[in-house]
Amino acid sequence: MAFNSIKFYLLLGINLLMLGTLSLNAWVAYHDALHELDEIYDAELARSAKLISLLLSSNPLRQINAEPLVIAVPHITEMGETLSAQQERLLDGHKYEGKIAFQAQQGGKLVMLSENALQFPTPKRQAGYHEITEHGTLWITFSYFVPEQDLWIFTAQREDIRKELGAHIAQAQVRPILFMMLPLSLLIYLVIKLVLRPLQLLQQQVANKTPEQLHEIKLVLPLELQPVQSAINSMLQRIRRYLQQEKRFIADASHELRTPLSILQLHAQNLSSATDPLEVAEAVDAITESSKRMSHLVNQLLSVARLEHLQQIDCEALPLTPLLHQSLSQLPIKLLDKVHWQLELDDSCQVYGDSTLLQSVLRNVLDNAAKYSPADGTVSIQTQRDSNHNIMVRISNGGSTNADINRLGDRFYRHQQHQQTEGVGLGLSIVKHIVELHHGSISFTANHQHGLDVLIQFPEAAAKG
Amino acid sequence: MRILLVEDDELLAKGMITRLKRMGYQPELCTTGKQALLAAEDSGFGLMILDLGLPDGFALDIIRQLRHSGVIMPILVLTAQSQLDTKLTALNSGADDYLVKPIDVLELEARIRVLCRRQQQRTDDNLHLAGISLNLQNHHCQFQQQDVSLTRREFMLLKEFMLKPDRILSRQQLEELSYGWDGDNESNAIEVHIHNLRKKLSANLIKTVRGVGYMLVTQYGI
Repeated sequence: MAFNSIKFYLLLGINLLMLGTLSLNAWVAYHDALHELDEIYDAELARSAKLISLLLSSNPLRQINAEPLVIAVPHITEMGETLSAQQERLLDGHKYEGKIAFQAQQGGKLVMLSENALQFPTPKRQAGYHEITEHGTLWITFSYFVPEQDLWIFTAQREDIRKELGAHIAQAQVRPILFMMLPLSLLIYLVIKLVLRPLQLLQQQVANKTPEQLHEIKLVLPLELQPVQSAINSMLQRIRRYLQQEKRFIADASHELRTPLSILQLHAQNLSSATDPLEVAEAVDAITESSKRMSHLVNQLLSVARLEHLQQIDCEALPLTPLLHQSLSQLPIKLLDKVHWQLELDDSCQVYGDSTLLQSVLRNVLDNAAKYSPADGTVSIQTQRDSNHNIMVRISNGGSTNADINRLGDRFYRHQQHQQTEGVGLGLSIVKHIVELHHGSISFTANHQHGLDVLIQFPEAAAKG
Repeated sequence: MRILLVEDDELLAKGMITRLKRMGYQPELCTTGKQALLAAEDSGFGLMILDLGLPDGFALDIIRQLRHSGVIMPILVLTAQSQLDTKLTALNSGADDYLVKPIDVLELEARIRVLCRRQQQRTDDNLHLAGISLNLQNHHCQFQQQDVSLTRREFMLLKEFMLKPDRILSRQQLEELSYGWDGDNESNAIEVHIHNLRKKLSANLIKTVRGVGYMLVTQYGI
């Protein structure tokens, strides 16, 4: 499993969280147990002291001068912790019995002590609990005074015995945690694997995509992955469309190049075997014409390629009217004479852009409008500014055809009735691209004169001063 | 043999016509699919050369329609479209051959000959009949082991006679073959060519059927 993976982080996170929670739980339980043990033992110390005092007051020791009475306690402290509570209940007592020591002093004289009280710390003659450290060991002691008989009872217990018990309790808490960790981790791993399965399926689907196989992915996915799937699908669709466009471009470009090439080859071969001067002239004309057509095509193709790589343009504010006049003046004379030009220009319109590129746009659209208009038709040019600060250039002609408006601007698209007219069908595609570079838009609509309205919109450039 | 050439590019069509004529064929030009469909009703064509990128629609439909109405003339598709699926569609619709532009005229000529050979169920390009050998590839003609040189029109006529021996070919048929739809129809032009053929070969070879036309006689007295 890779370290930089959701699965790894989930597994690590959940496991750490689980371990942390369980450890905290064990720690709290251990401290609670210690506290309770303290209370029980403290109570036991007091009870033992009182019990001994009652015993000694009701039945006072006779031999005042004799040696103190030593009470034997069983030495079975080394009994293992593995015994059950039932087994620890022995005939002669309990193993922990040995861990409580006691002394009784009457009138400053030791009268009774337990067998294990040899290491007993020096008792404090002050009623209550005391913590006394003697020979590096901490003792908890309880001193009890019976004033009527001048009797001091001391009970004591080693602190480490309490700790030991506490540790046993804590161990008992931690053991199940340690036992549960591994199977729990395994279960968590399985759950994570199951939850991440759809992601893996999606990944496999995406990995299997090739340029030939870009179909939509249709998996039944959890809610969270559905947007991812639809995003991938929409990207696939865009790639498909792009590939289709490129394929069509290559097919169209090769088609457009092959026809003039055919003409060149055919007429050159005809020329090589021609005997008739008329045949020679025909072949030479055709070769010249075809070469012109090819060089135009190649130039247009180069412009398309250049523009497609052009992402930024040098912009300046340009008044639109002179731009239109210049573009008009660049049209071939025969096209200028072919139609009537009707100009309705708002001289205050300014656009931001590159003057050479914009002129080529206008020239191209005007050229097309005149070319596809019937002779003596009218081409109208209108510029105006709308309320949203857009500059609109509307160029309309009459009597053209019902062009496939949606395909206008596609590279190499030419209406079938116009295939005889000069041109290769790249002009509008170049225009479209330049307009888009200027953050503008171009649209085509059929008008009432069976012609075409071309509407170009640019954002307005603020007038100077 | 008359060839129906369907091509919308004027320059290309011009070059093809010049070439086909020089090869000994009589091409007729149609620039749209509609024209081509009408022209194909004329049974006089031996072959059709079809460009797929026609201005008035899909040329593939022309192939389908012609085949549907039982036209068996060979159709050679000549196009700039080189994609496999277009090729397959064209061939599956009934086209007999598919050539991608740019073409070499020698290949085009060879393919036309191949298609005709299959159509006429021959194994080679040599016609042998009544002592005449005619090579359709190099236009070489021999009569009784003697070389005979023929003009382009004489070759076209003789080839037509040899392909249809012992059958009357009408005057109109022969005129269309030699001059096409808009050729110069001098009334006696066919007679002149027939006369020359008779002089170069044998006087009894081509028989005049008065008021109807001419016929190549395979069993003739010398």
